Amino acid sequence: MGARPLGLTLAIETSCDETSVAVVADGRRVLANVVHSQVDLHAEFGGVVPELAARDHLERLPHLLDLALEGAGVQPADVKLLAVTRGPGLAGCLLVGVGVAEGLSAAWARPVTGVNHLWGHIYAAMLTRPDLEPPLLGLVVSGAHSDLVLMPEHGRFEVIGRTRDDAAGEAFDKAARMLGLGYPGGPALDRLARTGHAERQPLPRPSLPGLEYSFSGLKTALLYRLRDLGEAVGPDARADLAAAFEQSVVESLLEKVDAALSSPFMGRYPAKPGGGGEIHEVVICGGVAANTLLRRRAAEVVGGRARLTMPPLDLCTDNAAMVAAAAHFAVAANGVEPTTVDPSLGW
Amino acid sequence: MIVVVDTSSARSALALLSPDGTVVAEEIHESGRDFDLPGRFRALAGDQTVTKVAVAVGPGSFTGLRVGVSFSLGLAIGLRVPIVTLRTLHIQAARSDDAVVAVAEAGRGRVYLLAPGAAPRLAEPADLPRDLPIVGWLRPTTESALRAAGLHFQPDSELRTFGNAASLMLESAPEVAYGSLKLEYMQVFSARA
Ligand SMILES: [Zn+2]
Repeated sequence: MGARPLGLTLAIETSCDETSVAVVADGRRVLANVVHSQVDLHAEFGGVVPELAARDHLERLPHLLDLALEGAGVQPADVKLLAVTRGPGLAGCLLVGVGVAEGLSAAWARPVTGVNHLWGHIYAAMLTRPDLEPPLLGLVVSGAHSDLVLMPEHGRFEVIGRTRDDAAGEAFDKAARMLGLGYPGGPALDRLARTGHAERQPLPRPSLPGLEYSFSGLKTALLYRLRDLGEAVGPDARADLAAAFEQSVVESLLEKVDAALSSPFMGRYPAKPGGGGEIHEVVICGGVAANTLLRRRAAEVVGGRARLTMPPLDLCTDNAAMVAAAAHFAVAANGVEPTTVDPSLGW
Repeated sequence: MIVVVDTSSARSALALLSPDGTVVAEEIHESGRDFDLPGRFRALAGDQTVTKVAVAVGPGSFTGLRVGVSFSLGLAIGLRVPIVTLRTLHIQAARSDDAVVAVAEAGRGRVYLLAPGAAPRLAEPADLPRDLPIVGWLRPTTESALRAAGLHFQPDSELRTFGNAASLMLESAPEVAYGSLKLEYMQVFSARA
């Protein structure tokens, strides 16, 4: 039998509607990352039902734990650290993941650490690129977040911009519902937008001063446009509206990335002791980072100013490997953090 | 050792039983944010070998139930030992040999109750049967409301301890597959907003 890998972290993620367990070596190498999506469970309700989600997490976790350990080819005794998302997320769902992680921790006599879900999304990029190191500028975009984050070093994060109202993914879901698309709305809107022409149904581009976002005005603009068009909203107009809505959201998101990259405050954080303060790495992550237009336009906007990393789809959506990676580096930097559920943490 | 966990109601209980059902240790705490289940478990179990986990599955508080059931599940999975489920109201009923009404905190001034020969249900204090003593763990305000409604609580000194009641229940407690644990909420929830 060969040498066992050192520094194995087993992580659990149950903050919303994905149940996931992962085993990651040294915070960088994914040995297993199993994800069960509850999307079918919630589809008939047109959104995540917290109570159903929490029950499903409890029922799925035991099997996913087996799958993750088997898939990684490791024994519980090999696990050195347990990690679990402690927030932000749905309280009932977080309680299940945290409880199971605490139970495993007691059984295996291993420490357990709580992880901020948002930082997890950023660490998905580190799993994508082994050589990626802070300092970096991160844009976390999902159904719950549109946050611009400055990460000067491992375990340190500063939110420098966020949404005042809806998150980008939430805006996509609501627009999809208005356009009569299915659930989940984001991917459906993405597909429809590919067949439309934004310039035929232009919508306003939200723009707040500074690095803040707002998408509720755009949503209202779409609502009024649909009302004005009335009977005239055929399939073509619907596709054009999807394209216009997507374009407004994407350009608004990237406008702030552009502004942050150009801002002199980027020099505030020394990269390394004695090192310079330039940001050379940009990470765009979270479920909305799967959007086709965002992926294409992000590369253009960031251009040659920094290296852009957008994790592949399976690491953009919620998963436990990113939680394991974040935990590994956070423990190295800050020690073991509490596991008490905090659904508001980092919102 | 068999570990018994009940965090479903206004008080949280932990007990350690020997394989023959003798209570080795037990402790009761006020439920809430300050109750540290993993910490209390470690203190109680020490380095003793746990061979089975028993957990109360409600009805009771959504938060408390989730905390207790998920911790117990993780513990059982981690130790590769069986997990068995106990019903919250039946544990309280088993604390007395007399006919009693077992209650558990349901929030918003209401209680879950189990009367002899009837199915568990949710009730307002005024709807409780008046001819039998009450046994169970309620928030102080709920308990006061019940007393004000003329109900009489069986004193703790005349009751079995939690651990001894759980021990009685264990004989018939069903072993459950790890992935089949279900909580008994009793309160319906609406999935559609
Ligand atoms: Zn997420």
